[in-house]
Amino acid sequence: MAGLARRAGDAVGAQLAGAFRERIRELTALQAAARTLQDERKDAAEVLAEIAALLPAASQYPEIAAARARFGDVERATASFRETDCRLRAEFTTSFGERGAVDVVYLAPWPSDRPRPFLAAERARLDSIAEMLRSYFERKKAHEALRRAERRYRALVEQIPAVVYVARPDANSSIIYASPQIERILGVPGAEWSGDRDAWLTALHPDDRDRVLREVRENRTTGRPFRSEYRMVARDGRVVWVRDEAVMVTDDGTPVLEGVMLDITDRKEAERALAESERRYRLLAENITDVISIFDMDLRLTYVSPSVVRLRGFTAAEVMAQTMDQRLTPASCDRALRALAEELEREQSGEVDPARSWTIDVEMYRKDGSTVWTETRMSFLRDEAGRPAGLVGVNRDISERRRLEQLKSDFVALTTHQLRTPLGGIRWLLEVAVEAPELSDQTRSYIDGARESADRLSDMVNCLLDAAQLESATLRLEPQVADLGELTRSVLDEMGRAFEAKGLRVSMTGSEAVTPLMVDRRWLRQAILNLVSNAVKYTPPAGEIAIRMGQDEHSVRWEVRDSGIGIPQEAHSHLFEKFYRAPNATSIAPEGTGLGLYLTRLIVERFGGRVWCESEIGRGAVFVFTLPREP
Amino acid sequence: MTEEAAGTPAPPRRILLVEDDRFQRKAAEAKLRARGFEVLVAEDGEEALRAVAGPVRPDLVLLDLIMPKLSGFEVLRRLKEDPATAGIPVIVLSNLGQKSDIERATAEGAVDYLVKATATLRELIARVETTLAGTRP
Repeated sequence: MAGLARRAGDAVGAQLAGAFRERIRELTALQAAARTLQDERKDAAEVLAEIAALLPAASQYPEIAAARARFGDVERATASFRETDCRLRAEFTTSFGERGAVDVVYLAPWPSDRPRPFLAAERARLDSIAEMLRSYFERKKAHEALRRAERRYRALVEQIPAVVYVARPDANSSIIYASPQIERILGVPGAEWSGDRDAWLTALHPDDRDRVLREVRENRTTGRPFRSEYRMVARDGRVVWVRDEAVMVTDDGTPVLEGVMLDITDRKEAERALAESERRYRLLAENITDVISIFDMDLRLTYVSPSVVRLRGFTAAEVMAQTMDQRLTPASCDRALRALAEELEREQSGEVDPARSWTIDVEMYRKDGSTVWTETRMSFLRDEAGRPAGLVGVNRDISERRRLEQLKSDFVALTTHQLRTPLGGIRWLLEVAVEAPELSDQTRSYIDGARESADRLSDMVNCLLDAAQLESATLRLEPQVADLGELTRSVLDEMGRAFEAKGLRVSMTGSEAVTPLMVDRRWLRQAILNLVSNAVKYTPPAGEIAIRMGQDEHSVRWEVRDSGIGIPQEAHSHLFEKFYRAPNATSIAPEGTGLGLYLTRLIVERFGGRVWCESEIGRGAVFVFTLPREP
Repeated sequence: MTEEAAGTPAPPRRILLVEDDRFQRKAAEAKLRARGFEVLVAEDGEEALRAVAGPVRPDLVLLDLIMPKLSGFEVLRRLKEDPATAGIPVIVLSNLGQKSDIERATAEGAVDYLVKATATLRELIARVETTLAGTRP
């Protein structure tokens, strides 16, 4: 009884033990599989190999079992695995369409007395593992895609030259995340920012704190995007200007601030420097006695310095409202416009100094009805491409200078006249003396020398008297119809002997294209004579002198080109000054008076024209004058 | 130098030289005499008028403009006013070279105008001879 009962008990015990064994196998296998599949960093081959390795132990006859796991193109199997008739297979397909399978085989020939090779429990176990693999690969793929996207996003965020941040909309605007650029700007690593709830508030510049916090409060109330520029203090004490823009968004039901912070210190510094420089120049412009004016290209005033009130009696505001002909006398208007037109023309030739200036004397109206003479130095303001975009002019009161010049001219005229009388006596007496009979050759050469000296002195006195007359405002010009070609020809005739003596080739072109002018013939002839004799003086023997004339709708142009020693660039602006002589002129023609070109300028300007020189050392010189066609 | 001998035996031509600067006067007088002219001289405007009113009338007057006592313009005006002297050709000899001066002198009856500052005596003689050639009796 007892033995039967024990046997029966043994049988039940053995059955229970078998069931427990199966259960333990299943749990062990599933646990092992779950452990294996926890780690998403493993690649597919590793995972498949591990799963295949633990499958035989989960089967009923582990000693004759082998297994294989497959996913896509990858498969791993236990060492002894081969296809047999006795096989259990579970297949799976992920939601991305990838297929896999796990196989368990028994290697020994299946004993015929055994009813079924695999237990239902084994089937269920294998299906569970296949399901775990499916879920694992699905998860892994989804996470990889997510990580890739995040990596891309992070890279993007961390490369833009701005701090991207996320903050809580609390009183401190405490930072949840700040991109690494914040370290570059403020010297504090991004991680520290998110760890310190007061980080942002602490870094705010004390002088800006109240304003910014007020702006933040207002912003939270209205819900509008936050936008502000303020200073922060970097860890090393530097003051950094930032532009901060943020919007409120909701992240899983929690409101957060997402914002961008830009370092604008350079821009602020540039703005400050600009304001400082403008303030300085404004101070300068407003305190000097000269008047500074800025014009657009249509000669409309866009700025005039307050000093204009001292010059003209009008305030700057009154002057701004004036037209050009309310500012300048008609003759001065003309002169200013003509000078501008010529400068623009020269501009197109391209070979001019962009920083050059030109000077014109203009007569300006005063509030009390009188006029004041000013010397105006003009130059172009240029745009970024270097094109003239406006004009700046500096007017200087020269009425006192003019008055002194008049006094001086009167004085010169008087004394020159007093000089002429004794000089006339000398010249004439010498002329008589040289004809006296029985002079020795030596005496004759003395007298010739004295005559030459007297002639030079006489030239000088004549030039001075001419200059004094031209400088004087009272000189009356006597305009007549004059043919520029004919005047030039008469000069060339007079100088014929000088050309021959030096063997110079002289040509004249373009005279037929020039219409007659209304000018004072004597003075214009004098100007031409001065320019031609200069050319002769500074051109070496057998050189060339070419005179060319032409005209456009506004003015007549006359030029003489020589093949002489040229004129150094730095002398150009002085050439037409009284008594000036170019540094290389004195060696060639020591007897020059330094008055010829000065007289020429006075004459040409008297007729409303302009004269200038274009030359380089060793390349000859071109002297040009222009005269208005309707003076 | 021997023109009078070569041509018809004409009496020497008489020139009145009105010039206040004694050196210019002296030089011009010497040159004119060397050319065979008879020369009367006056140092100022009044003297010039007296000389013209005298028994020997000049054939030509060389007249300075800026002079003490009576200016050249005044002398010229009076000479041209008086029918007895209006026919005597006058050449102005002056330091004034402005066109307006020349025009004024011409309007007052001067036949020619020489700017002393640039003229040589040779030119002076040439002008005198040209003028006299036109009035040869």
